[in-house]
Amino acid sequence: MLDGNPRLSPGGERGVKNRLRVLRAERGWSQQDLAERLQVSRQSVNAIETGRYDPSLPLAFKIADLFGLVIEEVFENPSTAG
Amino acid sequence: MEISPASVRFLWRFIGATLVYGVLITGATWVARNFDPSPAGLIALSILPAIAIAASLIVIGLYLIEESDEYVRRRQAVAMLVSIGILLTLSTALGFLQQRNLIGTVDLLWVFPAWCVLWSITQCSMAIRDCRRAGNAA
Repeated sequence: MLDGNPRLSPGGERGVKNRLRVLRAERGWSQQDLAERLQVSRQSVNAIETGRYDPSLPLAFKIADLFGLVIEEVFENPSTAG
Repeated sequence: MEISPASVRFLWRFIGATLVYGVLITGATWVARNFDPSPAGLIALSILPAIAIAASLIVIGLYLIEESDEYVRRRQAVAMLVSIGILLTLSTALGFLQQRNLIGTVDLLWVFPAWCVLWSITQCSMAIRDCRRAGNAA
């Protein structure tokens, strides 16, 4: 499901790897657009995308719901990552 | 950088509490100097400004409760903890220096303003660090 280094984010951070940037780009949304849809700050979206912050379970569900996916399709399960 | 509604509310409340602190400390000092209060009155006058400090801390606590952005809330909590850690370390070091008569007396009333300054510096440091990391990630 996810390509590249399973542990390191684009920013070199050790957060849970996610596809937020790709999913956002597919829809042509900016970080600000996504932040408004999630009712969080743009800094939050940036921090999650770059792996500097792992969202809480409610926010992770909200993100997955927004993209019409299940959590595992947005965030990689660290315990099953290669 | 956008400011959340909770941040705006915090800012106004904190400014209010700081103004009350200023009024209380100025008023208490003026009364103590001009009216020669009794020892009990002097104790009350000395403690009075601390009520505004307590109000400021309640305002900070309210902000942490009301901030709906979990990332921003976490950052603020981290900044507070880091600044408390620095302040405790510095004040303990100053305490030992005082104990050995290496420095003069440091007034404890500066503890809260010092923490506010350290909190601000910590937030700025975190913002600069995040900007650098975001730049590296781009």
